Amino acid sequence: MSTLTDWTIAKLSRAIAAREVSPVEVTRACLARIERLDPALRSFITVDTEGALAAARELEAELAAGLSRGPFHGIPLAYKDLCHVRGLPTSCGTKTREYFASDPECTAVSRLREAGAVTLGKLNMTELALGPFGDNAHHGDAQNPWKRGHAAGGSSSGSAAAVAAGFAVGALGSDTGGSIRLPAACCGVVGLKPTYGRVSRAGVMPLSWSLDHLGPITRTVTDAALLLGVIAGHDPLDATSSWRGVPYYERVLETPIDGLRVGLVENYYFDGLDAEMAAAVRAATSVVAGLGADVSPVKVPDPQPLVDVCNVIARSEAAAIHARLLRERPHELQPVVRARLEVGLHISAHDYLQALRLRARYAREFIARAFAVVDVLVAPVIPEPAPALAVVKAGTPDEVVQRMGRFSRLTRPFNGLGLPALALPCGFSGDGRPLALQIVGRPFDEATTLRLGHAYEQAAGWVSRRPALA
Amino acid sequence: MDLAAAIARLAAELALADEPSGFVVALEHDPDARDAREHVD
Repeated sequence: MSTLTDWTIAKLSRAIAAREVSPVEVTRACLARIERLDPALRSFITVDTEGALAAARELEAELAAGLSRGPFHGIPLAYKDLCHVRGLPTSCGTKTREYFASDPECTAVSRLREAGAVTLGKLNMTELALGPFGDNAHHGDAQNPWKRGHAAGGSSSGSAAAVAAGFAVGALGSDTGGSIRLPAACCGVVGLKPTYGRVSRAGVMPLSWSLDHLGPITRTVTDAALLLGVIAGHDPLDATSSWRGVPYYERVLETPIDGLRVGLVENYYFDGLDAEMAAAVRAATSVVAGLGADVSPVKVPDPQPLVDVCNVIARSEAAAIHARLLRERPHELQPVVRARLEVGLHISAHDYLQALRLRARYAREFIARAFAVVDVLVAPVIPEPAPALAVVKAGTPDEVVQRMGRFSRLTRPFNGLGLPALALPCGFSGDGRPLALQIVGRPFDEATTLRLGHAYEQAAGWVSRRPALA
Repeated sequence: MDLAAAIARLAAELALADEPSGFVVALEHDPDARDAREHVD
C-alpha cells in the first residue's frame, strides 16, 4: 500500500469517512514530509504546523461525535501565498512578509475550511505572480520534484511542486496568463483554470482583474472536480463572479466520451514545439479517439493578436495595482519583475480601453468559430518540458522577459478568452520530465473539459507515477 | 512602443458597437454552454 501522502483527495476522503484514517494522522504525515523534504524543494513560504494540527484535532473530534462535513473533512490542503488566509501572512512572493492584507479572507479558502479542509500553509510563487518559471530571489527558487535544478513552472510554483511531492493533497493557484497550468504541466499534476467568473477572486491579490482566475491544482482530474465544486459559485464579495449554478462535476466524470467532438488545434499551438511534447499530445488524442471520441484537426482564429491585447491589459492593470510598491520601493523587486511592471506605467488609457474592446470582439469570434464544429479543444500547454532554472534566468531582463513570453504563449490566449482550460500529464520526456496537454471547453462547461480529462487519465495511466524524492 | 503600435493596428478592426462589456456577454450567453450545463445539472 502506498503511503498516505501519495493518496488522492477522493481516496483519503473515503478512508476518513470510514474512520480508517484520521485527519490528525494524515496531517501529521504531510507536515513530517514537508519538514523532511521541502528545504530542498522550496515549495512552502509559511508552514502552519500548530494551526494545521489544531484544526485536524477539531475535525477528528467532530467525526468522533458523528459529524462529517463531507468529502473534504480532514483533507490537508495548501494555498498560493497570494490568498489571504486568516492568521497567516501573505507575501505574494515579495520581500515584504505581509504585502497583501484583505478583509475578508479569501472566499475559496473560507469555503474549503467550512467544507472541512485543513490548512497546511502558504505556498511559494513567482514574485507578484509575474513569471512562468517559479524562480524567486526572496523565498528561493521552487524546484521541480521530477528533476532538481529545473523549473517548477510559475507563477503557482509551490502549489504544483507541493502537490507533486506529496506535501499537500491539493492546492489553490491563480492564473493570469497560465500560472495554474504552466506549473501543473511542469510538475506532472493536474491544474484547472476555470471560466472567468466561475470562482470568486475575493481575498486574492489581484494582478490583472480582467484576466485573473483562481483554481485547483491536484493529482487527479477527479480531485480537481471535487475541489472546483466547493470553490465555484457566486460570491457577493466578488461582483465578477457568476450567478450560474454549480454542477456536481464529479458525477459526470464516468459518462462515456464516445461521440464527443474533440478538436486538435493545428495552427499556432505546434509552432516550434519540442518534438517529444508534440508527439505526446498527438498520442493523447489517439487514446481518446480509441475511447470513442470523434477527434479531428481544427484551425482556430489566430491567437497572436489576442496575446498582444492581453499584454496591454495585464501590464496596465498590474502597474496600477502595484503602483505604490513600484514607486516607493522598486529596489525590493527582482529586476525582471520590475521591468515587466514598469511597462504598464507607460500605456495610455486610450490603448488600454481599445485592448478591452478588442478582447471582447476576439472572445465572441473565437467562441463562435472554434466551437462551431467541436465540443472541446486539445492543445499543448508548454512548448518544452520544464527547462533548467539556470538557463531561464540567464541574460538581461529584456532577454528573460522575451523567454517568459515564449514559455506562456500556449496558455495566455485562454485567459483573454476566459475559457475553462485543464492541464494534465500525458507522458514523460526521455530524461524524466513531465509532458502535458491542455483541454479547453466552452464557457462554463468545465464539466465536459473534466470529463474528457478523466477519461484520458484513466486510460493513459500516467497518474500512478510519483517523483522519487530522497 | 511595440504594444501601442500593435493596439493601434488592431483597433482599426473595431466597430462603433464594440464595448469592453462584450467579453462577459460572450461568456454568459453562449447557448451551447448553457445546454451543456443543463445536461449535467
